[in-house]
Amino acid sequence: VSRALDLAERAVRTAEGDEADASVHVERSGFARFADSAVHQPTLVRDETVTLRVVRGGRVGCATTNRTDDDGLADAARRAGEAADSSPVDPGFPGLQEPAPVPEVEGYDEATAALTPEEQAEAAAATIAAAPGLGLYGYYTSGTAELAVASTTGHAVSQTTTDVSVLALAAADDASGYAEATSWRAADLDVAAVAEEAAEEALTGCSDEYRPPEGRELVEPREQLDVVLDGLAEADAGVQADVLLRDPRIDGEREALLQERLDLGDDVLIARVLLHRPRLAQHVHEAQVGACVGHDARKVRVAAEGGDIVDHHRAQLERPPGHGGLRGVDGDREALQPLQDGLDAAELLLSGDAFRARAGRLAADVHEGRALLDEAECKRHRRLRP
Amino acid sequence: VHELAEHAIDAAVAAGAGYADARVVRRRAQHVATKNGEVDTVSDAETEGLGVRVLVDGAWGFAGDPRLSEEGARDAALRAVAFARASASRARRRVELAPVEPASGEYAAAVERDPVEVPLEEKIALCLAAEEGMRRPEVKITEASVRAQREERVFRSSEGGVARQQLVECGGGIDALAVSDDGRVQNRSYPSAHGGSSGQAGWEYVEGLGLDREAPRVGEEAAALLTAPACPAGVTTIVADAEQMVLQVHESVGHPTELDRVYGTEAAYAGTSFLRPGDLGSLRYGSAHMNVTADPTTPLGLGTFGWDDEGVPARRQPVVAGGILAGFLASRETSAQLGRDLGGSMRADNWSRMPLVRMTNLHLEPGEGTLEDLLADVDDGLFLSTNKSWSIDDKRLNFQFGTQVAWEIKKGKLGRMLRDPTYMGVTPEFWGGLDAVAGPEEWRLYGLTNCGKGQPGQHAHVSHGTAPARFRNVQVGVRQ
Repeated sequence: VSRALDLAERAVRTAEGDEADASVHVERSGFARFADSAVHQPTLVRDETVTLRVVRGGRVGCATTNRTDDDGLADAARRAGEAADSSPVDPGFPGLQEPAPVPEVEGYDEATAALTPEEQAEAAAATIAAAPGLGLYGYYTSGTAELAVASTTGHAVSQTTTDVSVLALAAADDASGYAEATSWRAADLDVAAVAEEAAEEALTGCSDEYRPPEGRELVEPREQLDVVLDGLAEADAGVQADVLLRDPRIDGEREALLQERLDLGDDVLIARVLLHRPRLAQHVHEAQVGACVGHDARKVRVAAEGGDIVDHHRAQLERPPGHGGLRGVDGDREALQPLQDGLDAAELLLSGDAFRARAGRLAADVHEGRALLDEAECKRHRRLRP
Repeated sequence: VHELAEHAIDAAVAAGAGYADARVVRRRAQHVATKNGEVDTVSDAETEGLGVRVLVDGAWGFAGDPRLSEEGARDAALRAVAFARASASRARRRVELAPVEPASGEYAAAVERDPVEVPLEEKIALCLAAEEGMRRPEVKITEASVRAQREERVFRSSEGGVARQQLVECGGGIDALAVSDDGRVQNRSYPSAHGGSSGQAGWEYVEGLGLDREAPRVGEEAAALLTAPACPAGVTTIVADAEQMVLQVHESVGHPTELDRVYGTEAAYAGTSFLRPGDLGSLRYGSAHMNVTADPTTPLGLGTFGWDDEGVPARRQPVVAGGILAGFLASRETSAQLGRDLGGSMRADNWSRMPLVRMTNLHLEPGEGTLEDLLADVDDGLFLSTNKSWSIDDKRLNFQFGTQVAWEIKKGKLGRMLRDPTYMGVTPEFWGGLDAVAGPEEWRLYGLTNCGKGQPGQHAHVSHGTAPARFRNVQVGVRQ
């Protein structure tokens, strides 16, 4: 039994109610952020968070804590109970997860989990060194995320994954280039190639036309939610995908359509995060469970506003397409023209083949049974690794 | 916890840190939301931990640990030193810190009724009552939410700084989404879009918002927008209400004056700035009516504190004075880079994050007169209210913002309601068109909780005090 699962089961035993479940997230990560070709904000994080959900007479309450001693868990159980007592009966509550098999996920690499701060800084330095003569901005990060769920129904699962990402933005005098890569195995990540790709873009300029990678296809924005959900259903995202997919509280076709339209952009991002950023995905999962929300996309978005997700997406939307962030003012003006033609960012996501052709936004790739979504970077040739 | 922070600093210095500070943070946060008459969210989260920031050979390192124990403190300190040492050998510039008198003392927000202790039943009832008031046949989705947060922050530094702060904040908001038979959607919000408004205060702040009082108007306006004509395009005079001016100040003054963006360290995520260090004291940012101040001493402000997260005492600071760039938002590091004493704006959103240059409370200082006075001097223009959307480039120079609603201004009086208004501009040109700001009687303080920056991501809680303002020659709607 993993430490996270042990912690989840301890938390469940602390709860007082008809039913209870606990979700535990453990994160250990290092984040070497660099700017102007020097590491400047290196951040090491370790945390473990318990979200306890208690059901009393059809009322549901949640509480979250990172105090994992007995007092901390008891306090969380008390607060979850109070929240349940304060809430009205939820007739749509589907009940807790019954015991079910969890897909085996190949997503953990011992060597990646064991990376030291020195090795993370070394990887950042290697990224920087591969783009000599240009200012390089971005980060190298690696970490381990463990998720465990236990409940009074007997459900007890845990999953440990590693992830590693490198992002490079190279700045030349009047242009910039961008590249990014993600994997769950550090050895698979060629940080120098990422930096070289960003540098090449900065030095040679970009194509305005987006071409999906071989074997992948563009789909229309309105179809993308289905693509995301279908992809998640087939993805090896395990518990996270299961949580996102269950949607017992959508209350009517019209509202579902509205929410689809309103939140499509966030859905795309969340789906991408779920598939490619397991550490961030756990924040989403934690937020939605912690907020006692259902599992529809809009609620996920609301919950995610407490985390990293939405603003990251917003920042991408606000950034002129194809520009890494350091382009000249005239270039910005040109790229902003679609926005200045009277559409806001959300509308842009849902309309305009012309804009999409121009910016390559919202390219959804379906490949080998997985939905791989590359929502913003026509010229940022994101490397998607299964 | 003071001893734990001291233990971390001792461990860091013993391991080779030339400078170290430690923050112990304990936070409890609640959020209640209702939607269409049902409880949507009841969350109650607490977190605690210690963050240690060190300088080793002029390079930063940071580590956070949730264990409030000597072992956790020492472990975080040693990991931070290891990361800093690994970075130092590859640094291109040695970090220097501007001198500061070591922090010493305590700060606590003025609170009448602890918002966290307000029963959840009361919070739910308030939301449901506010929602009820928004109901109309055309309004398909009503939402209301309230939040409460209590936080203790203890700071110590190797320079002798010692401070303890107790921050309490709460807030709320309502939204009505109206849908026409053919599927068009319009929304109205109060007191602010994107999560309402919060203040550093007790529950009396939420009660003072009057969510249920404003709900009928919000619902009526959302419904009315469905049949309102579209906002026409053209170059005209606009008067933006105080809530929209919050967004205008935040995006086009706050972010570009963050000195870390000016120096490029946010280029990979939040962006850079059209400003340069040498612009200080000389760049014309706007008209003579433009006065913007950073003030972390503002009562009720979400950016109000005794000391920032590197121990710099709160101090009111001009940012734009008479239209001229007069200051930047800065850290000790960037102040030293510029060679100027710029006050303290370093804030971290939790114990597990490194402090960044953030807005505190950034205000557009009031001018004179009432909103009616501003309108009276407009022969033909638009009154814009409540932010709906924003798009702005990474330098914070070219922008297009949308509001939820507009009203025509004809011969100094408000006329028809208009839907889907947008306006655009280039920051200094736009602010150059400012020809009036309403007076203190129209000045309002809004608190936002969703300002994103940094990698790993952080969210800052900031406040802006603004009054309605009038701008001439503004491009509205689709360019002709």
